[in-house]
Amino acid sequence: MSDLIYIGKDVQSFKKSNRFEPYDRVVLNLDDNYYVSSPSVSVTNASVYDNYANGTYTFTYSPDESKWETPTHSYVTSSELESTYGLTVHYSDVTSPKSGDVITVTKTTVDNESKITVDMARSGSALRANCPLVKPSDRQKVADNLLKRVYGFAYQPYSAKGAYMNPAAEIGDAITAYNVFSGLFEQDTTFNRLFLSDIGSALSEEAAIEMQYETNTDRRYNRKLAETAAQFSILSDRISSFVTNQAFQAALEVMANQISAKVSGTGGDANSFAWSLSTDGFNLYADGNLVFKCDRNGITVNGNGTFTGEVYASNIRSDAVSGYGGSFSGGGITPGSIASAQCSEGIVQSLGYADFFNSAIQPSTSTYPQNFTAARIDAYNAFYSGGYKVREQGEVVYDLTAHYHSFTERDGKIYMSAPTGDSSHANFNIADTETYKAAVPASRAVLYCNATNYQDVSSGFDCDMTGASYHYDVNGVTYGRIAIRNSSGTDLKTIRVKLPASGGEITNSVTITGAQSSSATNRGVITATASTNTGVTATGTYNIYLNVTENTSSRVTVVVLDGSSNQLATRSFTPQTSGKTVSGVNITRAGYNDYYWTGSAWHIPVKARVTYSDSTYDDFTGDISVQDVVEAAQREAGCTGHVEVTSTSGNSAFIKIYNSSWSAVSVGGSSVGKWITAGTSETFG
Amino acid sequence: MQDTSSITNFDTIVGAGNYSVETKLVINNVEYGEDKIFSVKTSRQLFTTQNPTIGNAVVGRLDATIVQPTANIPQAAEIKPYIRVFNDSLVSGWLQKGVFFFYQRWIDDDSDAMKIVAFDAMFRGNQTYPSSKLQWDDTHPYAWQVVNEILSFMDVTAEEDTLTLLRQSDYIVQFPAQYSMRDVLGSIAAMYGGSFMMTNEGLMRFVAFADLPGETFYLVTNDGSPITFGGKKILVRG
Repeated sequence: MSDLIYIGKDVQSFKKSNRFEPYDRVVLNLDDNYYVSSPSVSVTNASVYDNYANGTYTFTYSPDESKWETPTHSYVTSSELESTYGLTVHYSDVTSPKSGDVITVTKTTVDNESKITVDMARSGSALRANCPLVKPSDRQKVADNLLKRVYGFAYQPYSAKGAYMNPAAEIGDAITAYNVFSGLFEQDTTFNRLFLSDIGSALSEEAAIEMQYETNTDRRYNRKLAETAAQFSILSDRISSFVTNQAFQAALEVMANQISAKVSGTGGDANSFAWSLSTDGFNLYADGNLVFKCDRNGITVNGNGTFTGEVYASNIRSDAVSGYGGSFSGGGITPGSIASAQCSEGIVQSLGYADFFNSAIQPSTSTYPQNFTAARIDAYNAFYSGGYKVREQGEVVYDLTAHYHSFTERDGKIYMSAPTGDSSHANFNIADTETYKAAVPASRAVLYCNATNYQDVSSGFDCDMTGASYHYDVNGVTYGRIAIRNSSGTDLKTIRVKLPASGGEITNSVTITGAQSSSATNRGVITATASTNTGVTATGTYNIYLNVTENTSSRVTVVVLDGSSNQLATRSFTPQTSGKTVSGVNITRAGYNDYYWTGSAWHIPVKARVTYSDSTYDDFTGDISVQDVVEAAQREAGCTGHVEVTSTSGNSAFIKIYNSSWSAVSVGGSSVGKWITAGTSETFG
Repeated sequence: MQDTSSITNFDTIVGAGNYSVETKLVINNVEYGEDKIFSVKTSRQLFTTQNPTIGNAVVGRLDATIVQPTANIPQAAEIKPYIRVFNDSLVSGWLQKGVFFFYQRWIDDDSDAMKIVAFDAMFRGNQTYPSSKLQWDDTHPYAWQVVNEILSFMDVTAEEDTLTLLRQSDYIVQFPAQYSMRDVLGSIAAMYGGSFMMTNEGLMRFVAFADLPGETFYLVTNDGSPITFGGKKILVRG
């Protein structure tokens, strides 16, 4: 229901218990001569029932007299409202009409006389039309449809006489005259050379903005002024704008298929910068040279580029660097070094090599980039030169499964230095058990293990060379091998042992025969034997000699020498029989049954007898180092390593064998060292 | 806006500006150029009062003064004004600016020229609604059916868009006893929120009050044609 309700002057509020809907318009007649067309409406004590609000509707009005009009409508009184429309009218005082705060209710109405009213939103006026032929049953439908069509439409009155406009303009066209947008509702056209029209959209009460018309003279004058500083033209296929002053010239051209702009210096500074936007690309120019281009193929930059953020690229072409003769500065990646199609996660495929020395991973020897502490290099292909140093916790993974030849043949080296004070990360793994075997026999491969803080022997070093050949040559010398095992029988380390000329691996290492005097001579013999698993046995005979270097009535000194005249020990004593002449000295017993500790080493007592000229004699005891004796025997046998007597018991000594680096050698698999009894022989190994 | 895309050079010349307009009249299929024309003026008012209105059937008017023609001009003869534009180098084709019919003519005593008052075909609607062939009751006829019958009575064709719009509503029209056809058209136009008028091509058109072409803020040429880049219009923001 869309009511048009006129209320008499004595009615300022009423209570409506009937239907009242949005956009209903209420015209409040204040007296017989004026009415306010746009009252504000407030609702109090309203309740909603059956989609309609019941409550007290209070109307205030704008006192703006310019909005008042002479009433042209009939109105009803409150009593008529009650009797005719079923409205309950209450009275209240409106003592202070509010200025402004006006709610304009837009509405279309088809009244009982089939008069159509369209209330205007902006002007406070209304369109009214007689519509006698509309059927009463269609009035509401017509009003509703009209409201949908016109609601919110802002009618803009104007008039423009002598308008110079497109000759094809006609009634119903929209027109923009300066900032006024309205319709062409009136058109009186005079057919002459200028084809001028008087146009407008009428409204009697408001003056309109007139569309100005410039004479030809006016236009020429204005254009001339404009050209002095700037020129702007719009043609059917082009828009161009030029601005000039003493400092520069600027131009903007908008054409059908291109937009371009240019700024040029006109004084001593003749720099210029320009850009163009076309259907296929965007270009930037500096001093006439293309510096940046963007098109469907990507971007091209002629010159340097600075990226303050990260740069991502799915592919770096092999010729992207070398093809232009450029390089990655700093020497980190030399031209052509990354030639493969992908560098997505490091160098996953390379036909060349990656030289990271002093670059990405290690930019300097003194400063390590912290963000590369977990750097990883996967090198699944050969390395033809150079090497890798990975600091901190970096990991180098070599897959040498099918490429070991290139490694060994190129004399490749792997250096690994454990961080100072941190041995836990110095892990070096050759994961593929099939590759290292082949890496050795070329005879020139050298594995350096500089684990200066090597601590965890059992887990930190696992280099099993037993599968390799039984001998190898270094500088033309043939060496055998001794495997060092821990108490569990696991080989810990191997040492090279110079073998007899026929070579072979020492399996039965050393046999020591205790030195003892078998005759009254000044010479004793210790025998050491080394045999190999190839059946070669080398026996070294260690001779000791006693020389009397001092022979007086009060003091006799005997020196123990080995076969090479190396002094092993010296012993001085006072003869028991004084004043007699020594006629000879003989070893009566040596290294037998009575080793003793001198405070720094175990020694073999050497018993000797000094015979005097009257056949009297004195027996005395000297000593030599067992260690010296055994090592002398080893040297005679051509063996390296050391032997240590760690304890004695009766006429037996506990012998331990060490390699040349004084690492204990496992003997027998369950203990380090072995008891040996004087006068017998034992086999080590 | 009349469609001028098929008229040779018209948009080009208007777009370039600095053009002049030439007029001719075609009266009963005889052309009268500017050498025979003293003045021509057309007038169309969509509103009948000084306030905006709806529900009108606008009659367009032509006032012309020409040299006395030698040819015979029959009663209520057709008179059509044409214009074309030209500049220093181009001349356009002719653009029709209305179809009118002689209403009154006389020879001016002072100038010895013929003065003409003519109205367009809407003027024919000033007759009482003739005998209708439609069914008139509580459910008949629809408004668009009435318009169609009036068009046939007036020997006028409506634009297809107008007919399409009218068919979108099923308003029932009461029998127009004692009403002229223009009254009926106006009443129906009010139902639809606009007015009827005759176009420059001589077709009847419904002009809705609130259906102005939307303001687009597109960058346009002098003649209002949008300037495009690769087929895209340029939107200008203030």
